[in-house]
Amino acid sequence: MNGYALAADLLPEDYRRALPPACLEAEEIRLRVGRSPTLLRDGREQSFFERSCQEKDLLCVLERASGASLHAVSDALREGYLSCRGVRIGVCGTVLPGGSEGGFGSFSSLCLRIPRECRGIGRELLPAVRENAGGGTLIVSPPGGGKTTLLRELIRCLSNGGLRIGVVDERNELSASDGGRAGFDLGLRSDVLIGAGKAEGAMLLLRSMNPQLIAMDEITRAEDLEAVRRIAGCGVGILASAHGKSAEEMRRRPMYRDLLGSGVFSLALRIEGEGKDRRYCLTEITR
Amino acid sequence: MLNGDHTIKLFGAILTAAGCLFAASAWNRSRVSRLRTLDRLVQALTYMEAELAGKAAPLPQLALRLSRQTDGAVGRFFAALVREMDALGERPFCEIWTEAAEANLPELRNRERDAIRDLGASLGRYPVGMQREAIAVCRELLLREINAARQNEREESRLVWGLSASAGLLLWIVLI
Repeated sequence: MNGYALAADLLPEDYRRALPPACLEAEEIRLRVGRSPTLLRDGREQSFFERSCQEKDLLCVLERASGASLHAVSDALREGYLSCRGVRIGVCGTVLPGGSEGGFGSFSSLCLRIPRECRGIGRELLPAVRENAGGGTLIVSPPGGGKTTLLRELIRCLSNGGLRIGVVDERNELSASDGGRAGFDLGLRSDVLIGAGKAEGAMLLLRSMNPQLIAMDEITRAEDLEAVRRIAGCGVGILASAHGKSAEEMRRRPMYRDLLGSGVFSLALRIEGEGKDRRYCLTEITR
Repeated sequence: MLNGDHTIKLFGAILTAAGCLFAASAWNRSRVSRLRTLDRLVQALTYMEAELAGKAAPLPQLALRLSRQTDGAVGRFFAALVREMDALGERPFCEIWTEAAEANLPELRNRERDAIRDLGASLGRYPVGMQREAIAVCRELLLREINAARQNEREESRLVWGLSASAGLLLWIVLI
């Protein structure tokens, strides 16, 4: 699946034509009202077209991504994003008064994160992660560090290696499914649950699919951490990702302190660097 | 016995009277058709509101269902909407909605057309609660127009038929 083409397909025609063709290292496309659209690659944002964005352009992207039905994705919108076939679109603007329904009165910026499938990345990590499959492995990096890409590849390799994996794909970013068909290969023995919250989804997978490992992307909310604790008590391994610089730094955040101290995760995978210079560091998490 | 001159006059008078009656009948048909269109629009809006409230149904699905289950101009309007939704991303939804309405609902009067256009600016863009309010406002206006049209129906009908019959008769007398 070509994530770059999928993201480009959501843009207005003149922007789409102006994009450099097949830019595989592109990470994000950003649209800001009153500014030229930009492409993030190798850690740098570069303008790719002269015409400044208007709110109409942003609305066109959102309407294309949601089928002109922002109300149907209001749960995600409330979290500040919406997903379309693996492309996550971060949204900024003015939230409507009493915006509990996830409505925006106007839009000012969009960030289209380009999903990627990087086969072979983190190959050196696989033996350790496989050995720890009955426990917990946490992938840690700042936003945009490549957590989702690494998680996707680890799931694929572990699944092809014989593990039965239940994937809670809340935002449809890991599998990028369209009509039940996965856009990204998550391996031979993966069962993917899309759209459900992590807590609810993990319990559903436990009850119904008999997984050996449950994988989930970006555990950021208190209820996500609670879901992880509950799974850990059920004898199933966990492979998850979270925002942070390192496991040590995460321990300073009250929300993660208890979780990391509880021994649910015994292995941390830290992603360092950007673009082609990414490195993976494996450390044990001590209680 | 009628001579040739009289025959032509009689034939012309009959045609003229028939023409007047035909004009009255056409007017009546367009009035009935407009009422039917308004009725179906109100039904479609009620369905949309219920589907939005219950399932937060996406608009392409709603439009597809309405194009299949609604006859006449309103069905054609939703079918055009489904077709044109491929252009989402190039053109805003409200533009697609307005163009489909203008092309397929020509019987609507200005006020009704404005209400439909305003509704298109809210659909799909705002939370369900706000969309339901916009639908309710549009439906209220259409219902008022339907009621007004039905109240005036008998008087207008009598007036048009009377005028047509009188005009036909007058021309008949003049020609004969």
